[in-house]
Amino acid sequence: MLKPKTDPCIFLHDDPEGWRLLLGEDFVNELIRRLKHVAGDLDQVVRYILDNPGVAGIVVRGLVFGGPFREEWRLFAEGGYVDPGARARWPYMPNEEQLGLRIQISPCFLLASLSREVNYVWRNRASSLFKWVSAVPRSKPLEVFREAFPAWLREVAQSRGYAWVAWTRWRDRRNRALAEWLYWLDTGRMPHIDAALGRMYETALRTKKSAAEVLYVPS
Amino acid sequence: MLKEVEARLGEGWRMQWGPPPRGVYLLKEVYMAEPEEASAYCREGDLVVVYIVAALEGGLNVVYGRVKPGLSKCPVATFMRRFAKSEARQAVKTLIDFATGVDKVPLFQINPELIRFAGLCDEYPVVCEDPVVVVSKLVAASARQLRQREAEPPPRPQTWLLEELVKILREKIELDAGFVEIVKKIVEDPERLRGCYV
Repeated sequence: MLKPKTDPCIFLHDDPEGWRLLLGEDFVNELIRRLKHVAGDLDQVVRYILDNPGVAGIVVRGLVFGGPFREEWRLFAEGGYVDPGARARWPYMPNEEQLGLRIQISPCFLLASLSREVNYVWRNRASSLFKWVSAVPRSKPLEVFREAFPAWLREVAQSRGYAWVAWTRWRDRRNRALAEWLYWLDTGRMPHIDAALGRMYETALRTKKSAAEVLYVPS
Repeated sequence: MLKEVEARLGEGWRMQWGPPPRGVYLLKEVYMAEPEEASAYCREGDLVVVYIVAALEGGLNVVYGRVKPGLSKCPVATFMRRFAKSEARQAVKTLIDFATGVDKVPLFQINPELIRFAGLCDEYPVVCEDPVVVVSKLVAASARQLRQREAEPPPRPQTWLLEELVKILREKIELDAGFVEIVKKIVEDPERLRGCYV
C-alpha cells in the first residue's frame, strides 16, 4: 500500500525533490518502473507527466492507496476524478476588487481525463480560459497557458501578489483558483504543495500584507 | 470467428469465456456501444462480443472492445496476454494495430491519453498533437515537396492531365446536358469562376 503525503495535484508540480519527499521512495520507484518505456529517471518522469497530464490517471491505475489522502487518490486512480476546486489557502486581504474573469477551476483539473462531462465543467466554470485557448490542451499545458494568459494578469500577480488575486471577486466568489493558476504559470509548481513543503516565501514577500505566517491550513 | 481473431493476434494470446478484467479502455468511451444495444443484435444470431486485453505487469489492463463491458445477452470472449512493464509500448501498439487494421476503427476513436502513456506519439501524431501542429507540419511537408518538384525539371508535358480533364468533362456533359451551359460560360469568362471561390 502506498501512502502519499499529498494529493494527485503533485503530478503538475515540477519539482522532483518534492515528489520524493511527499510520495515516498516506493511510489516514485513504481512510477519510474511504469513509465520505463518513455522515461529513464524521476526527472524525466516528472517532465513527461507535466507535458502530458492525461497520462497520470493511467499510470496510477490499479495501485492501492492509504494515508491521509487516500480518498483523493482512490478516486483518481479508479475513475480519473479530480476535484476542480482550489486547494491553496492564502493570507486574508480585505479586497472587493472585481477582475471580470471566470476561472473557478484549479489547474489540477488538467489531470482529469477529458470526458464530455469534464469538458462541460471546464467550459462552464472556467469560461474565461476559452477566450485565450480554443480547447483544453492535452500536451504541454504549461507552455500553452504561459503564452495564452494575458500579460496584464500576470503582471497584476507579480506586482500585487497572488494572495491579492486570490481575494478578488468574481460575483460572490473569490478568485482562489485563479491565484493558483498564476502561481503555477510563474513557478511551474502548485502553491498548496509548496506550502506543505514550507516553500512559499516568494508569495509571502510579494503580498502587501506582511503578517502572512499561516499560509496553509490543512482541512 | 474466434479462430480468425486468434490467428490475427498471433502467438501468446489465451482465450477465455467471460467479461474482461477492469482496466483502461483503448477506445474513447463515447465510441463504445452500450451493452443493451449489443444485446439486441445477438438475440438470434451467433454473434460473440470479443475483448482483447493486454495485461501489463503490476495491475494495469488495457482493454479493447467495441462494447462497454456490462450485463448483456451476448456470449463474451476475452483474449488475454501478459506483458512485462517495459513492453507497454509494444502491448498498446499491438492493440491499436488490431483495432485499426482488422476492425477498421478510425484512429480518432482511440483514447489519446493511452497513446501518450505508451509513448507512441511519434507514430500517431494525428491523435496526440494539437491540430494546429499537425496542420503546420503538413504545410511544411507539402512546401518541401513543392520545392523539390520545382528543383527538378518537369517530367513530361501536362497534356495528359488536360486530356483526362476533357474526358471527365465529356462524361459529365453526357450525364447532364445542362452542364454544357456552365462550361460555355466558364470558357467565355474564366474570371467569373474565380468569383465563385472568393
